[in-house]
Amino acid sequence: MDPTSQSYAVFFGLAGAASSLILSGAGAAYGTAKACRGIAKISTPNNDTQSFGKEYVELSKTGESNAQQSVGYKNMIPVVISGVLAIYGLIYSVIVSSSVVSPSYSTSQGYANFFGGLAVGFCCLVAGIAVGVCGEAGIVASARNSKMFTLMVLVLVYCEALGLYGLIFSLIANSLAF
Amino acid sequence: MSESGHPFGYEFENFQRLLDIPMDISPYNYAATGTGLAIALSVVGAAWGIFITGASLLGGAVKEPRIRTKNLISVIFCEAVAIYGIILSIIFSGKMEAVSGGFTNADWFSGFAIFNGGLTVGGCNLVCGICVGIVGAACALADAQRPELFVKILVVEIFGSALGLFGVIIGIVMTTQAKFG
Repeated sequence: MDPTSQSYAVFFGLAGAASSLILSGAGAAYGTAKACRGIAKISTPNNDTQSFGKEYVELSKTGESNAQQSVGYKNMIPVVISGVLAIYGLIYSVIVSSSVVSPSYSTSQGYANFFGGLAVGFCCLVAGIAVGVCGEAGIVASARNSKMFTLMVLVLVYCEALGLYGLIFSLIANSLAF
Repeated sequence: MSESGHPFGYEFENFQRLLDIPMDISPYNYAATGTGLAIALSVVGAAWGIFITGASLLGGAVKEPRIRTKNLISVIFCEAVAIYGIILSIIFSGKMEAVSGGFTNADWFSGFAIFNGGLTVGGCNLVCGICVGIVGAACALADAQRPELFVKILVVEIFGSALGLFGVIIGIVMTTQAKFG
């Protein structure tokens, strides 16, 4: 590193990389766990389990075909979309981590990467919460009525776009920093 | 040299001196804090996940003893998160050596990199452990109901455990060039 450069820029840059990965990972974790609750909800018919199963009693009233429906891999779509939100955080972390080691890493780049990391992190965190809640509701709804599947996918795409907006801003800020 | 002794010049002196505060803490402190955070937060995530999964597994196995052995894999996924943390913290603590003379910019870089790398590893393992724990609890109860659901919810669990792996990879990428002395 250049001995006349301000070396605390590295601290801010790497803190942005860290926060982007941790916060987007938290959003992805919430989305994955909530979607799994939805999958378990539509597949357990036993009334003894706490909140699983109450939905299923109503499902079986609509007919044997819905109750016997096997849990296919279509219900993994909210899980995959949550994983994509974690990958948005990973992309930004990799970009920042590889640009921090260059000798011309200025303080302006450090600040831009710090706030970009917070942007990606918080946007993917709230997007993950949205994907989880919509995914759970969508899985339960599409088990009742198979036409609701396309509506679930449409809503999930809107939720994922929120995380993408954060990533777009941070990449633009990263390229505009001098 | 400005009057505070730092070798950088200032344009807005009163405000920019606040940003000298990160440089008043020794880089060994940053590196040690990062090493501690890596192991501590990873183990918190693993413990949280294990008790969430274990409680559901133990309760479900009362009525359905056949789920006992298969669903230990959820507990092992959570434990792997703790193992990532301890491996990374051993790697980071091996990078700390004695420095003769003052700290160079490479030493400051190493301190900041190990701090943020350890924070990344610990934080990602924390959220991964909680996620795998919740999914594993659902897996145990669904397996007790219908045996064919075990594999399907295990796929969700593998997506969840990828989060901890992302943290480990980025922690290693950040600290490859970190070297004291």
